[in-house]
Amino acid sequence: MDPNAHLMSDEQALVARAQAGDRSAFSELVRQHRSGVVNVVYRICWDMALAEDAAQEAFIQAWTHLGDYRPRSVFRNWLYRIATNRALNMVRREKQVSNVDALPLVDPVPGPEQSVARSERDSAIRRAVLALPPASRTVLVLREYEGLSYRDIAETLEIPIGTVMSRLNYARQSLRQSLAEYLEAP
Amino acid sequence: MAHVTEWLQAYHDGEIDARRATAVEAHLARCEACRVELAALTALSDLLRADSAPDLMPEERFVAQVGLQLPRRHAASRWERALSTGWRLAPVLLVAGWMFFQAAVVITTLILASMSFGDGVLTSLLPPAPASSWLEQLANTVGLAPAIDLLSVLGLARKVTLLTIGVPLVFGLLVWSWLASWWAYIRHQQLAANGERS
Repeated sequence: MDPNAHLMSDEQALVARAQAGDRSAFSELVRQHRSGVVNVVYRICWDMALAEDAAQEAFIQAWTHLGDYRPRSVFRNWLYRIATNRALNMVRREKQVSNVDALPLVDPVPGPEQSVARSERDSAIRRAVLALPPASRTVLVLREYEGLSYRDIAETLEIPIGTVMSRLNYARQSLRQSLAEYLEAP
Repeated sequence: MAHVTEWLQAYHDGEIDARRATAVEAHLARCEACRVELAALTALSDLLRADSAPDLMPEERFVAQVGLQLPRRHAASRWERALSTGWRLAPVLLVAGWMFFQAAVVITTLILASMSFGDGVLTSLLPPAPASSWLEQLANTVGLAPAIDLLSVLGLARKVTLLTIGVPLVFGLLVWSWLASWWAYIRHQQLAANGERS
C-alpha cells in the first residue's frame, strides 16, 4: 500500500470540507502547502516580498475556485498551477524583480571572505535562473527545488511529459554554461 | 560505443525504469564521457539547491493573513446544485429525447404504413365512399377531385417536412447552444484559474 495514500485521503477530506465552505479546513491546507507554494513563487521571481504576496493571492484564488478542483488530479499540482501562473503574471508585471543584489541572504557563514564568495555565487545563480525563459524556469524550479516528478510537472503545467523533458534539458544546458565558473570550482 | 546521453537526465532525476537504469549503469561503468556528463548534472543540482530561500514569514501570520483576505464564498443551495446537475445532464437528456423522437417516428410510420396497406385492400373491395363535404361534392361535380387530392398530399408533405427537418433543427440548435455555453464556461474558468482576469 502506498504510504502516502493515507495522507492523500486526509488531504482530500480537507479539500472536500473546504469545498463545502469550511474555512478552518482551508487554513489547514494553507498551512500544509504554504512552504511549497511560497518556495515555487520565490524561485520564479526571486523576490521574497513579492513571493509572499503572490503566494497569498494564489491561495485566495484557490479558495475562490475550489469548486472547480476535481479529486482526480493531485491537489498540490492544482495549487502549484495557480501559483506558477500567478508568479509568471507577476514577473511580467514587475520589471524590478531582477534586482537580485538587493535580496536578503540567509544562513550566514562564519568568515567574511566566505560570506562574500557565497553572496556572489548566490547572486550569479539568481541571475542565471532569472535569465531563463519563464517556461523553462518554471519546469526547472518544480524539478530542482520542489522535486516534482515529470508526470506531476506535466499535470501542473498542463504540458506533455516530452515538453517537460525538453524544457528541463534546455534550462540545465543554459545554466551549465552561465554557471560554469561555479560548477568547476570545488 | 553508443553513449546514453539522452537517458542521463532522466536517470539523474530517477525517472527511468529499473531495466533501463541497469543498462545506463552498465554503460556508465565503462564510459568516462557519460560519467562526466552525469557528474555535471549532479553538480548543477547541488549548486542550485545550495542557494536556500530567505526566511519565510511566521506560519501563523501567513495563514492568518490569507484567512483575513478570503472572500465570503456562497455555498450552493440544494436547488442550485440540482440546477447545475441538470445543466450538466442537458446533452444526455437531449440525446435521449432525440432517440425517443426517432423511435416514435419510425414506429408511427410503420403503423401508418400497415394501416394504409390494410385500407387499400379493404377499399378496393368496397364501393367508393360518397363525398363527405360540400367541397368534395362540388369538386367531383366540376371535375376538380385530383386538385383536392394534391392539396391533401401537399398538406401531409408539409407536416412530414416539419417533422423531419424542423425537429432535428431544434435539437441541433439546442445541442450547439449547450456546447457554446459549456465552452464559454470552461474558458472563463481557465482564465480565472490562470489569474489573467486579475
